[in-house]
Amino acid sequence: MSTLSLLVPLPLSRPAPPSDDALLARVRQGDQDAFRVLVERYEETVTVTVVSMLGRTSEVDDVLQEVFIQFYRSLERFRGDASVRTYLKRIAINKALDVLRRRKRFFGRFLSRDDDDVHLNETAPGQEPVEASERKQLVRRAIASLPPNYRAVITLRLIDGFSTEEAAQMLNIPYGTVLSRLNRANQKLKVILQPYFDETLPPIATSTD
Amino acid sequence: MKRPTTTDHLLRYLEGALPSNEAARLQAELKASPALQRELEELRLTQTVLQQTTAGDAAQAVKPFLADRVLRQLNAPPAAEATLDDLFANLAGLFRPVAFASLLLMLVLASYNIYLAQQYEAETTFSESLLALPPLSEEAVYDLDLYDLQMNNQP
Repeated sequence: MSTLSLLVPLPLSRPAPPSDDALLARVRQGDQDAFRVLVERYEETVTVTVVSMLGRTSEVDDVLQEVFIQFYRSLERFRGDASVRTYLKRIAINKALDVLRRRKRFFGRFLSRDDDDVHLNETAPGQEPVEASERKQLVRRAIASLPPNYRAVITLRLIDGFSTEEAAQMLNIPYGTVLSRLNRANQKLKVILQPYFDETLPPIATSTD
Repeated sequence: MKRPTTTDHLLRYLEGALPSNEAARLQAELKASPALQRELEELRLTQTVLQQTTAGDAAQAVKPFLADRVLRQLNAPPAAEATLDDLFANLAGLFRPVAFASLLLMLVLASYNIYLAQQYEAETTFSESLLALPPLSEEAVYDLDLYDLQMNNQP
């Protein structure tokens, strides 16, 4: 064997990451390292849901911790009918709704006043193009203008990409309610995002016939 | 009767989740209606900007070591249930040093008063010197209407 062949590294096959089911089985046996892997695996996706519901607030980190703690404590009841992602998202939505209800209780008067301010219909025609940062502000204000129940539907259906049936199951509401909330929420979002649409989309072509 | 096109209908079309016959019907509608085309494009754009903005905000919102913080909370000993006795015990613990310091101060002041009374050989009773009260003058006796009391107490 030549010395060169000893220097060439052998192709290493990286072991496949453990499945959720395998990790859950280990967690149920008390393996907290396995739980750590699950937290790190789903941290990002759960954060998207919580941020979509609450915005970028200091409450996000607390809610994230509560979500994973509740998940850990309810593992005995978790039968695996839904995926871990769906289960975590459901917990996250409910926790976030709790926070929004608490906020409304304390600041209801101020929030309702803010809601009225959110409408941006006053944008004059021919205004400057909506830049990226302004667009983000617009989107944040659009989401913040939605009542919590509408926000939950928009988060699950539009942002997280769950189907309407799944959203209904996760929110424990009838299918038809999700449909109507989705329609109304979309109408509200469109009102606020209109300046962005006008900048981005071509005007509706009118028929010359 | 023809059903109105809902947001969910358009979304499922965008996701490719509509049955082929419904998708074909919607395509025909879209061809015939620029307003519906616009609605579809607005919905597509709405979904895109919502997903992009939220993902960006979420990336900024994540604080490091979430797993560590979660595990620390899970491993923390459970907080004992607070009772009224605990409250009183805590209050006693809180006020014990204050009470001790006050008592000590009172003892020091009383000793100092007694020491002064002895040093100046003041004609005061023990309680007057303890509390550093001036001797009872004749005017004060009349003012306080203690004359009878004093006379009665005299041997």
